[in-house]
Amino acid sequence: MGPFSDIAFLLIIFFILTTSLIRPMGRFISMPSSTSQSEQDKAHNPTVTILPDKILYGEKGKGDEELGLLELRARLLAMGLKSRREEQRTIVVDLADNVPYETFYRVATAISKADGVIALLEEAERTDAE
Amino acid sequence: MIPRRKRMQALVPLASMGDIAFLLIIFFMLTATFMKDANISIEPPRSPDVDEVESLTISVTVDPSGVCRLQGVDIDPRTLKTAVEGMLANSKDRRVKVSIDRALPKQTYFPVIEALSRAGATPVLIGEQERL
Repeated sequence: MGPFSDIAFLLIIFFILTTSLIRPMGRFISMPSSTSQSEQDKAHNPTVTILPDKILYGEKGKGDEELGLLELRARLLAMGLKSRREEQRTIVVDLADNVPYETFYRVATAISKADGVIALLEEAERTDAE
Repeated sequence: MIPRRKRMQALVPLASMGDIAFLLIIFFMLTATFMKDANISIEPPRSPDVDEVESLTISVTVDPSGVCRLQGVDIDPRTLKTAVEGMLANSKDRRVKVSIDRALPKQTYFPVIEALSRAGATPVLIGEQERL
């Protein structure tokens, strides 16, 4: 029985050392459940344009305004998106070509924390808009 | 004559030690999550809006050189949608852990996020907490 329990305890030590006790940090992002949201719907939703050096926030009937990340977070949280339907929670995100992932990540997590649904503007749609 | 007291011997039941040890092994085997992408080093993005997330079974990683991996195996982002759809078909949990290097350009990370969205997955973007 001696060597048998030795092996068992060695296995225990292996599992203790390999088990990851640290939980990763992150945030899930909601994306529209329908495959393609209509152009009309997208036109009514607020738009966040992410450029390499700045963030622009625009609503229908108003021009784009430049916001810092903290201002954007405050604006999104004040919108009270949680109580709205999915179509009304959608924030259209327009990404410029040379935006690094971290910039997109900061905006995407801010929108998600405010219970927003992220609709990424696809390449074809961006070309049409231009 | 006073009879000598017999010295009591402490006996450790060694036979049951093995049983306990194996029960512990079974516990650790069932609770352990083996990280399939543990060998991939990524500089995670930072944001003030992240929280602790659960360990998820499906993971997508894009390393600093732009190589996309599903469950630690190289995959073309163009075939990612089909592969993730297949994995989610028999699963109620639609969450997919997404770890992408912070400095990667749009043309590298956008197709990955787009593919996951089209596959009906809920991407859980992994990053680091930034204190404000």
